Amino acid sequence: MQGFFSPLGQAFLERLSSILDELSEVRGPPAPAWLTLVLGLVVNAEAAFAGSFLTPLLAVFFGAFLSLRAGKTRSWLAVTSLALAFSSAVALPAFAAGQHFERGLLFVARATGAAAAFTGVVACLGWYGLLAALEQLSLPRYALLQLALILRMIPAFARDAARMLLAREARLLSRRRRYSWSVLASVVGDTLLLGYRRSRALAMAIEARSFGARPARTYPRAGHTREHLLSAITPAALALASTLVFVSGA
Amino acid sequence: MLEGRDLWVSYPGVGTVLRGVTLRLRKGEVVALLGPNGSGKTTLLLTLAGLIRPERGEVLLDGAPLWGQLPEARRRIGVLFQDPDDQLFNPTVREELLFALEQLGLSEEEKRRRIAEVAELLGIDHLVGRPTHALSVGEKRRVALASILVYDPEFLLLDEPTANLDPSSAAQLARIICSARAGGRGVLVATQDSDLALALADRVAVLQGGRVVWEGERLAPDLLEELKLARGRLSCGEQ
Repeated sequence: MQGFFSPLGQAFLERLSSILDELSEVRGPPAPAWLTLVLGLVVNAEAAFAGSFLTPLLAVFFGAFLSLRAGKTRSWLAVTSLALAFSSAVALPAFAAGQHFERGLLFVARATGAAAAFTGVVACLGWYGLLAALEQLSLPRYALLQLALILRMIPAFARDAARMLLAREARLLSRRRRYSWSVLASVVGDTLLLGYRRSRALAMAIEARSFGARPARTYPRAGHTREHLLSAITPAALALASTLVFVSGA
Repeated sequence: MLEGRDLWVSYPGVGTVLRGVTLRLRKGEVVALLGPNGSGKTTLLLTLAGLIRPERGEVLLDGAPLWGQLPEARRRIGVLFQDPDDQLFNPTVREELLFALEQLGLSEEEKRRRIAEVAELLGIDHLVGRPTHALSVGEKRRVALASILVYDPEFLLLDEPTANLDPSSAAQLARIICSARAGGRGVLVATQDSDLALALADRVAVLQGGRVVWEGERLAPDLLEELKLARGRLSCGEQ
Protein backbone atom coordinates (compact mmCIF):
# COMPACT_ATOMS: atom_id res chain seq x y z
CA MET A 1 0.00 0.00 0.00
CA GLN A 2 1.63 3.20 -1.19
CA GLY A 3 2.42 5.73 1.51
CA PHE A 4 0.60 3.74 4.19
CA PHE A 5 1.50 5.97 7.11
CA SER A 6 1.40 9.24 5.24
CA PRO A 7 -2.39 9.37 4.73
CA LEU A 8 -2.90 8.45 8.39
CA GLY A 9 -0.38 11.03 9.53
CA GLN A 10 -1.89 13.67 7.28
CA ALA A 11 -5.43 12.82 8.32
CA PHE A 12 -4.36 13.06 11.96
CA LEU A 13 -2.81 16.49 11.44
CA GLU A 14 -5.79 17.77 9.49
CA ARG A 15 -8.17 16.46 12.13
CA LEU A 16 -6.01 18.03 14.84
CA SER A 17 -6.15 21.40 13.03
CA SER A 18 -9.93 21.24 12.67
CA ILE A 19 -10.38 20.24 16.32
CA LEU A 20 -8.22 23.13 17.46
CA ASP A 21 -10.16 25.48 15.19
CA GLU A 22 -13.49 24.31 16.55
CA LEU A 23 -12.33 24.45 20.16
CA SER A 24 -11.04 27.99 19.69
CA GLU A 25 -14.50 29.36 18.86
CA VAL A 26 -16.20 31.17 21.70
CA ARG A 27 -19.83 30.14 22.15
CA GLY A 28 -20.69 31.66 25.51
CA PRO A 29 -20.18 29.77 28.79
CA PRO A 30 -23.12 29.08 31.13
CA ALA A 31 -21.39 31.04 33.92
CA PRO A 32 -18.76 33.79 34.11
CA ALA A 33 -15.58 32.60 32.37
CA TRP A 34 -13.44 32.58 35.51
CA LEU A 35 -16.02 30.57 37.43
CA THR A 36 -16.31 28.01 34.65
CA LEU A 37 -12.53 27.69 34.56
CA VAL A 38 -12.14 27.36 38.34
CA LEU A 39 -14.89 24.76 38.47
CA GLY A 40 -13.30 22.92 35.58
CA LEU A 41 -9.88 22.95 37.23
CA VAL A 42 -11.34 21.65 40.50
CA VAL A 43 -13.10 18.80 38.69
CA ASN A 44 -9.95 18.16 36.67
CA ALA A 45 -7.81 17.94 39.82
CA GLU A 46 -10.35 15.75 41.62
CA ALA A 47 -10.47 13.35 38.67
CA ALA A 48 -6.69 13.31 38.28
CA PHE A 49 -6.12 12.23 41.90
CA ALA A 50 -9.28 10.22 42.49
CA GLY A 51 -9.09 7.06 44.59
CA SER A 52 -12.07 5.40 42.94
CA PHE A 53 -13.72 5.24 39.52
CA LEU A 54 -16.72 7.37 40.45
CA THR A 55 -15.04 10.79 40.37
CA PRO A 56 -13.44 10.31 36.94
CA LEU A 57 -16.79 9.12 35.62
CA LEU A 58 -18.48 12.24 36.98
CA ALA A 59 -15.72 14.32 35.39
CA VAL A 60 -16.49 12.72 32.03
CA PHE A 61 -20.16 13.63 32.42
CA PHE A 62 -19.16 17.16 33.43
CA GLY A 63 -17.03 17.56 30.30
CA ALA A 64 -19.72 15.99 28.13
CA PHE A 65 -22.33 18.39 29.51
CA LEU A 66 -20.18 21.45 28.81
CA SER A 67 -19.28 20.32 25.31
CA LEU A 68 -22.90 19.44 24.49
CA ARG A 69 -23.96 22.87 25.64
CA ALA A 70 -21.30 24.46 23.42
CA GLY A 71 -22.22 22.26 20.48
CA LYS A 72 -18.69 20.85 20.19
CA THR A 73 -19.35 17.24 21.11
CA ARG A 74 -17.41 15.81 18.17
CA SER A 75 -14.20 17.61 19.11
CA TRP A 76 -14.66 16.78 22.79
CA LEU A 77 -15.20 13.12 21.94
CA ALA A 78 -12.09 13.08 19.73
CA VAL A 79 -9.85 14.53 22.44
CA THR A 80 -11.31 12.33 25.19
CA SER A 81 -10.92 9.22 23.02
CA LEU A 82 -7.32 10.18 22.31
CA ALA A 83 -6.66 10.54 26.05
CA LEU A 84 -8.27 7.16 26.63
CA ALA A 85 -6.14 5.55 23.92
CA PHE A 86 -2.86 7.07 25.08
CA SER A 87 -3.43 6.32 28.76
CA SER A 88 -4.41 2.74 27.90
CA ALA A 89 -1.19 2.36 25.95
CA VAL A 90 0.82 3.74 28.87
CA ALA A 91 -0.99 1.41 31.30
CA LEU A 92 -0.34 -1.72 29.21
CA PRO A 93 2.49 -2.93 31.46
CA ALA A 94 0.14 -2.69 34.45
CA PHE A 95 -2.51 -4.69 32.61
CA ALA A 96 0.08 -7.26 31.64
CA ALA A 97 1.21 -7.65 35.26
CA GLY A 98 -1.96 -9.14 36.74
CA GLN A 99 -1.65 -7.78 40.28
CA HIS A 100 -1.60 -4.18 39.04
CA PHE A 101 -4.54 -4.51 36.69
CA GLU A 102 -6.87 -2.43 38.85
CA ARG A 103 -4.27 0.29 39.35
CA GLY A 104 -3.80 0.43 35.62
CA LEU A 105 -7.55 0.83 35.16
CA LEU A 106 -7.61 3.58 37.78
CA PHE A 107 -4.80 5.37 35.97
CA VAL A 108 -6.73 5.23 32.68
CA ALA A 109 -9.89 6.46 34.41
CA ARG A 110 -8.06 9.36 36.05
CA ALA A 111 -6.32 10.46 32.83
CA THR A 112 -9.46 10.19 30.75
CA GLY A 113 -11.67 11.90 33.35
CA ALA A 114 -9.23 14.79 33.78
CA ALA A 115 -8.85 15.22 30.00
CA ALA A 116 -12.63 15.06 29.49
CA ALA A 117 -13.25 17.72 32.15
CA PHE A 118 -10.59 20.10 30.88
CA THR A 119 -11.59 19.65 27.24
CA GLY A 120 -15.19 20.38 28.22
CA VAL A 121 -14.04 23.65 29.77
CA VAL A 122 -12.07 24.56 26.64
CA ALA A 123 -15.03 23.62 24.43
CA CYS A 124 -17.21 25.88 26.52
CA LEU A 125 -14.87 28.86 26.74
CA GLY A 126 -12.82 28.53 23.58
CA TRP A 127 -9.05 28.93 23.81
CA TYR A 128 -9.29 32.69 23.88
CA GLY A 129 -12.10 32.61 26.41
CA LEU A 130 -9.73 30.52 28.50
CA LEU A 131 -7.15 33.31 28.26
CA ALA A 132 -9.79 35.85 29.26
CA ALA A 133 -10.72 33.71 32.27
CA LEU A 134 -7.06 33.43 33.30
CA GLU A 135 -6.78 37.19 33.00
CA GLN A 136 -9.83 37.61 35.25
CA LEU A 137 -8.08 35.35 37.76
CA SER A 138 -5.07 37.71 37.66
CA LEU A 139 -2.63 35.28 36.13
CA PRO A 140 0.64 37.22 35.64
CA ARG A 141 0.62 39.00 32.29
CA TYR A 142 3.96 37.51 31.30
CA ALA A 143 2.56 33.97 31.66
CA LEU A 144 -0.63 34.99 29.88
CA LEU A 145 1.29 36.30 26.87
CA GLN A 146 3.34 33.12 26.69
CA LEU A 147 0.21 30.97 26.80
CA ALA A 148 -1.46 33.11 24.13
CA LEU A 149 1.57 32.68 21.91
CA ILE A 150 1.53 28.90 22.38
CA LEU A 151 -2.18 28.79 21.48
CA ARG A 152 -1.52 30.92 18.43
CA MET A 153 1.28 28.68 17.22
CA ILE A 154 -0.17 25.18 17.77
CA PRO A 155 -2.66 25.28 14.87
CA ALA A 156 -0.11 27.09 12.71
CA PHE A 157 2.42 24.30 13.22
CA ALA A 158 -0.19 21.59 12.74
CA ARG A 159 -1.14 23.12 9.38
CA ASP A 160 2.47 23.54 8.32
CA ALA A 161 3.17 19.91 9.12
CA ALA A 162 0.08 18.81 7.17
CA ARG A 163 1.17 20.88 4.17
CA MET A 164 4.70 19.49 4.29
CA LEU A 165 3.35 15.96 4.46
CA LEU A 166 1.11 16.60 1.47
CA ALA A 167 3.90 18.14 -0.57
CA ARG A 168 6.28 15.26 0.15
CA GLU A 169 3.67 12.61 -0.42
CA ALA A 170 3.25 14.04 -3.90
CA ARG A 171 6.68 12.59 -4.65
CA LEU A 172 6.10 9.16 -3.11
CA LEU A 173 6.37 7.00 -6.18
CA SER A 174 7.35 3.74 -4.57
CA ARG A 175 5.25 1.33 -2.53
CA ARG A 176 8.15 0.59 -0.23
CA ARG A 177 7.41 1.33 3.40
CA ARG A 178 10.79 2.87 4.12
CA TYR A 179 10.04 5.81 1.83
CA SER A 180 6.82 6.55 3.67
CA TRP A 181 8.65 6.43 6.98
CA SER A 182 11.41 8.70 5.73
CA VAL A 183 8.79 11.22 4.58
CA LEU A 184 7.08 11.14 7.97
CA ALA A 185 10.38 11.39 9.84
CA SER A 186 11.48 14.32 7.68
CA VAL A 187 8.27 16.19 8.49
CA VAL A 188 8.83 15.70 12.21
CA GLY A 189 12.40 16.94 11.93
CA ASP A 190 11.53 19.88 9.72
CA THR A 191 8.68 20.90 12.01
CA LEU A 192 11.17 21.11 14.87
CA LEU A 193 13.52 23.19 12.72
CA LEU A 194 10.62 25.36 11.62
CA GLY A 195 9.79 25.90 15.28
CA TYR A 196 13.30 27.11 15.98
CA ARG A 197 13.38 29.40 12.95
CA ARG A 198 9.94 30.79 13.66
CA SER A 199 10.73 31.44 17.32
CA ARG A 200 13.74 33.55 16.30
CA ALA A 201 11.67 35.47 13.75
CA LEU A 202 8.85 35.98 16.26
CA ALA A 203 11.33 37.33 18.80
CA MET A 204 12.41 39.89 16.19
CA ALA A 205 8.83 40.73 15.31
CA ILE A 206 7.95 41.32 18.97
CA GLU A 207 11.09 43.38 19.40
CA ALA A 208 10.27 45.44 16.29
CA ARG A 209 7.02 46.59 17.89
CA SER A 210 8.27 46.99 21.46
CA PHE A 211 8.96 50.66 21.95
CA GLY A 212 9.65 50.81 25.64
CA ALA A 213 9.91 47.20 26.79
CA ARG A 214 13.19 45.31 26.94
CA PRO A 215 14.20 43.50 23.76
CA ALA A 216 12.95 39.91 23.54
CA ARG A 217 16.45 38.48 23.80
CA THR A 218 17.32 40.00 27.20
CA TYR A 219 16.05 39.31 30.71
CA PRO A 220 13.25 41.52 32.09
CA ARG A 221 13.92 44.47 34.34
CA ALA A 222 13.85 44.26 38.14
CA GLY A 223 10.57 46.18 38.19
CA HIS A 224 8.77 43.09 36.88
CA THR A 225 10.35 40.75 39.43
CA ARG A 226 7.12 40.10 41.28
CA GLU A 227 5.30 39.09 38.10
CA HIS A 228 8.09 36.82 36.99
CA LEU A 229 8.43 35.25 40.40
CA LEU A 230 4.73 34.51 40.33
CA SER A 231 5.05 33.09 36.81
CA ALA A 232 7.85 30.81 37.93
CA ILE A 233 6.51 29.88 41.36
CA THR A 234 2.93 29.12 40.35
CA PRO A 235 3.63 26.23 37.96
CA ALA A 236 6.43 24.92 40.18
CA ALA A 237 4.16 24.92 43.22
CA LEU A 238 1.41 23.29 41.23
CA ALA A 239 3.76 20.58 40.01
CA LEU A 240 5.12 19.96 43.50
CA ALA A 241 1.65 19.84 45.03
CA SER A 242 0.45 17.46 42.32
CA THR A 243 3.41 15.16 42.89
CA LEU A 244 2.93 15.13 46.66
CA VAL A 245 -0.78 14.42 46.38
CA PHE A 246 -0.18 11.71 43.82
CA VAL A 247 2.55 10.04 45.86
CA SER A 248 0.56 10.16 49.08
CA GLY A 249 -2.74 9.18 47.57
CA ALA A 250 -1.68 6.46 45.15
CA MET B 1 16.96 60.04 7.44
CA LEU B 2 17.63 56.35 8.07
CA GLU B 3 21.06 55.37 6.89
CA GLY B 4 23.16 52.24 6.85
CA ARG B 5 26.91 52.85 6.40
CA ASP B 6 29.36 50.18 5.36
CA LEU B 7 27.29 47.34 6.79
CA TRP B 8 28.82 43.90 7.16
CA VAL B 9 26.68 41.02 8.38
CA SER B 10 27.49 37.30 8.53
CA TYR B 11 25.54 34.26 9.67
CA PRO B 12 27.29 31.25 11.22
CA GLY B 13 27.44 28.41 8.76
CA VAL B 14 26.23 30.65 5.93
CA GLY B 15 28.98 33.22 5.52
CA THR B 16 28.95 36.93 4.83
CA VAL B 17 25.58 38.13 3.64
CA LEU B 18 26.17 41.89 3.52
CA ARG B 19 29.51 43.23 2.35
CA GLY B 20 29.98 46.88 3.08
CA VAL B 21 26.49 48.03 2.07
CA THR B 22 25.66 51.72 2.30
CA LEU B 23 22.10 52.85 1.75
CA ARG B 24 20.12 55.96 2.66
CA LEU B 25 16.40 56.38 3.07
CA ARG B 26 15.09 59.93 3.35
CA LYS B 27 11.68 60.98 4.50
CA GLY B 28 9.26 61.56 1.64
CA GLU B 29 10.92 59.14 -0.77
CA VAL B 30 10.42 55.56 -1.92
CA VAL B 31 13.49 53.42 -2.48
CA ALA B 32 13.15 50.03 -4.16
CA LEU B 33 15.69 47.38 -3.26
CA LEU B 34 15.95 44.84 -6.06
CA GLY B 35 18.03 41.71 -6.12
CA PRO B 36 17.93 37.98 -6.73
CA ASN B 37 17.16 35.39 -4.03
CA GLY B 38 19.88 35.27 -1.43
CA SER B 39 21.30 38.68 -2.30
CA GLY B 40 20.79 39.98 1.25
CA LYS B 41 17.68 42.15 0.88
CA THR B 42 15.94 40.82 3.98
CA THR B 43 19.12 40.97 6.04
CA LEU B 44 19.64 44.59 4.99
CA LEU B 45 16.08 45.49 5.95
CA LEU B 46 16.37 43.86 9.38
CA THR B 47 19.73 45.52 9.96
CA LEU B 48 18.33 48.95 9.10
CA ALA B 49 15.44 48.25 11.49
CA GLY B 50 17.89 47.62 14.31
CA LEU B 51 16.95 43.96 14.67
CA ILE B 52 20.29 42.58 13.49
CA ARG B 53 23.50 44.12 14.75
CA PRO B 54 26.15 44.43 12.02
CA GLU B 55 29.69 43.22 12.71
CA ARG B 56 31.03 46.32 11.05
CA GLY B 57 29.43 49.57 10.03
CA GLU B 58 26.58 51.44 11.65
CA VAL B 59 22.96 52.38 11.25
CA LEU B 60 22.08 56.03 11.83
CA LEU B 61 18.69 57.54 12.49
CA ASP B 62 18.74 61.29 11.87
CA GLY B 63 22.50 61.24 12.21
CA ALA B 64 22.68 59.45 15.56
CA PRO B 65 23.46 55.73 16.02
CA LEU B 66 20.21 53.79 15.98
CA TRP B 67 21.31 51.21 18.55
CA GLY B 68 21.80 53.96 21.09
CA GLN B 69 18.18 55.07 20.62
CA LEU B 70 16.51 51.68 20.97
CA PRO B 71 13.94 50.59 21.89
CA GLU B 72 12.15 53.95 21.83
CA ALA B 73 13.27 54.61 18.24
CA ARG B 74 11.30 51.59 17.08
CA ARG B 75 8.28 53.84 17.31
CA ARG B 76 9.62 55.56 14.20
CA ILE B 77 10.31 52.46 12.11
CA GLY B 78 7.80 49.92 10.82
CA VAL B 79 9.00 46.57 9.46
CA LEU B 80 6.86 44.28 7.32
CA PHE B 81 8.30 40.77 7.41
CA GLN B 82 8.40 38.57 4.34
CA ASP B 83 6.43 35.78 6.02
CA PRO B 84 3.35 37.15 7.83
CA ASP B 85 3.35 34.13 10.15
CA ASP B 86 6.65 35.43 11.49
CA GLN B 87 5.06 38.77 12.27
CA LEU B 88 1.65 37.95 13.73
CA PHE B 89 1.86 36.72 17.31
CA ASN B 90 -1.36 37.80 18.97
CA PRO B 91 -4.46 35.63 19.29
CA THR B 92 -6.81 37.91 17.33
CA VAL B 93 -6.50 40.63 14.70
CA ARG B 94 -7.75 43.28 17.11
CA GLU B 95 -5.08 42.40 19.66
CA GLU B 96 -2.48 42.41 16.91
CA LEU B 97 -3.40 45.97 15.99
CA LEU B 98 -3.60 46.99 19.66
CA PHE B 99 -0.17 45.63 20.57
CA ALA B 100 1.78 48.71 19.47
CA LEU B 101 -0.94 51.21 20.42
CA GLU B 102 -1.07 50.05 24.03
CA GLN B 103 2.56 51.02 24.44
CA LEU B 104 1.95 54.58 23.28
CA GLY B 105 -0.35 55.57 26.15
CA LEU B 106 -3.20 56.59 23.85
CA SER B 107 -6.79 57.05 24.98
CA GLU B 108 -9.27 54.25 24.27
CA GLU B 109 -11.05 56.49 21.79
CA GLU B 110 -7.84 57.21 19.89
CA LYS B 111 -6.95 53.52 19.77
CA ARG B 112 -10.41 52.66 18.42
CA ARG B 113 -10.17 55.45 15.84
CA ARG B 114 -6.77 54.32 14.58
CA ILE B 115 -7.81 50.70 14.35
CA ALA B 116 -10.98 51.61 12.46
CA GLU B 117 -9.03 53.85 10.10
CA VAL B 118 -6.35 51.31 9.28
CA ALA B 119 -8.87 48.47 9.01
CA GLU B 120 -10.88 50.45 6.48
CA LEU B 121 -7.76 51.46 4.56
CA LEU B 122 -6.65 47.85 4.13
CA GLY B 123 -10.11 46.32 3.81
CA ILE B 124 -9.84 44.18 6.93
CA ASP B 125 -12.82 45.52 8.89
CA HIS B 126 -14.53 42.12 8.72
CA LEU B 127 -11.41 40.38 10.08
CA VAL B 128 -10.88 42.38 13.25
CA GLY B 129 -12.48 39.85 15.59
CA ARG B 130 -10.96 36.76 13.93
CA PRO B 131 -8.09 34.62 15.26
CA THR B 132 -4.94 35.37 13.30
CA HIS B 133 -4.14 31.74 12.61
CA ALA B 134 -7.42 31.32 10.73
CA LEU B 135 -6.65 33.93 8.05
CA SER B 136 -5.56 33.25 4.50
CA VAL B 137 -2.03 34.20 3.44
CA GLY B 138 -3.21 37.39 1.73
CA GLU B 139 -5.32 38.38 4.71
CA LYS B 140 -2.40 37.78 7.06
CA ARG B 141 -0.22 40.00 4.90
CA ARG B 142 -2.77 42.82 5.05
CA VAL B 143 -3.14 42.43 8.81
CA ALA B 144 0.65 42.44 9.19
CA LEU B 145 0.81 45.70 7.23
CA ALA B 146 -2.02 47.16 9.29
CA SER B 147 -0.18 46.25 12.49
CA ILE B 148 2.65 48.61 11.54
CA LEU B 149 0.63 51.36 9.84
CA VAL B 150 -1.54 51.67 12.94
CA TYR B 151 1.24 53.37 14.92
CA ASP B 152 2.14 55.64 12.00
CA PRO B 153 5.94 55.21 11.81
CA GLU B 154 8.12 57.67 9.91
CA PHE B 155 9.96 54.95 8.02
CA LEU B 156 8.43 51.85 6.46
CA LEU B 157 10.65 48.89 5.61
CA LEU B 158 8.62 46.44 3.52
CA ASP B 159 9.94 42.99 2.63
CA GLU B 160 8.22 41.61 -0.48
CA PRO B 161 4.96 43.43 0.30
CA THR B 162 3.11 42.32 -2.84
CA ALA B 163 3.89 38.59 -2.50
CA ASN B 164 0.67 36.51 -2.35
CA LEU B 165 -1.52 39.54 -2.99
CA ASP B 166 -4.15 39.56 -5.73
CA PRO B 167 -3.83 42.36 -8.32
CA SER B 168 -6.39 44.63 -6.68
CA SER B 169 -4.74 44.24 -3.27
CA ALA B 170 -1.36 44.90 -4.84
CA ALA B 171 -2.75 48.06 -6.44
CA GLN B 172 -4.18 49.09 -3.08
CA LEU B 173 -0.77 48.56 -1.50
CA ALA B 174 0.83 50.70 -4.20
CA ARG B 175 -1.62 53.49 -3.33
CA ILE B 176 -0.74 53.12 0.35
CA ILE B 177 2.96 53.44 -0.48
CA CYS B 178 2.30 56.58 -2.54
CA SER B 179 0.18 57.99 0.23
CA ALA B 180 2.92 57.27 2.79
CA ARG B 181 5.42 59.13 0.61
CA ALA B 182 3.05 62.05 0.19
CA GLY B 183 2.68 62.11 3.98
CA GLY B 184 6.42 62.59 4.34
CA ARG B 185 7.35 59.01 5.22
CA GLY B 186 10.36 57.18 3.89
CA VAL B 187 9.54 53.80 2.35
CA LEU B 188 12.07 51.09 1.53
CA VAL B 189 10.60 48.24 -0.50
CA ALA B 190 12.61 45.05 -0.91
CA THR B 191 11.11 43.30 -3.89
CA GLN B 192 11.70 41.14 -6.90
CA ASP B 193 8.86 42.88 -8.68
CA SER B 194 10.66 45.24 -11.04
CA ASP B 195 7.32 46.62 -12.31
CA LEU B 196 6.49 47.75 -8.78
CA ALA B 197 9.92 49.31 -8.47
CA LEU B 198 9.62 51.18 -11.74
CA ALA B 199 6.10 52.33 -10.97
CA LEU B 200 6.67 53.66 -7.47
CA ALA B 201 10.30 54.18 -6.58
CA ASP B 202 12.14 57.47 -6.60
CA ARG B 203 15.41 55.57 -6.38
CA VAL B 204 16.38 52.00 -7.04
CA ALA B 205 19.23 50.04 -5.49
CA VAL B 206 20.24 46.63 -6.82
CA LEU B 207 21.77 44.19 -4.36
CA GLN B 208 23.78 41.23 -5.54
CA GLY B 209 26.07 38.96 -3.57
CA GLY B 210 25.69 41.21 -0.54
CA ARG B 211 26.81 44.36 -2.32
CA VAL B 212 24.98 47.28 -3.87
CA VAL B 213 25.95 46.87 -7.51
CA TRP B 214 23.78 49.65 -8.88
CA GLU B 215 21.98 52.63 -7.39
CA GLY B 216 20.25 55.54 -9.04
CA GLU B 217 17.07 57.10 -10.26
CA ARG B 218 14.33 54.70 -11.32
CA LEU B 219 14.13 55.88 -14.88
CA ALA B 220 17.84 55.60 -15.54
CA PRO B 221 18.31 54.22 -19.08
CA ASP B 222 20.83 51.54 -18.11
CA LEU B 223 18.51 50.16 -15.43
CA LEU B 224 15.60 50.06 -17.86
CA GLU B 225 17.77 48.28 -20.39
CA GLU B 226 18.87 45.67 -17.83
CA LEU B 227 15.27 45.04 -16.73
CA LYS B 228 14.17 44.70 -20.36
CA LEU B 229 16.90 42.13 -20.90
CA ALA B 230 15.81 40.27 -17.76
CA ARG B 231 12.22 40.11 -19.05
CA GLY B 232 13.47 38.82 -22.35
CA ARG B 233 15.26 35.95 -20.63
CA LEU B 234 11.96 34.87 -19.06
CA SER B 235 10.08 34.63 -22.34
CA CYS B 236 9.77 31.57 -24.56
CA GLY B 237 11.14 33.51 -27.54
CA GLU B 238 14.71 33.86 -28.72
CA GLN B 239 17.35 33.88 -25.96
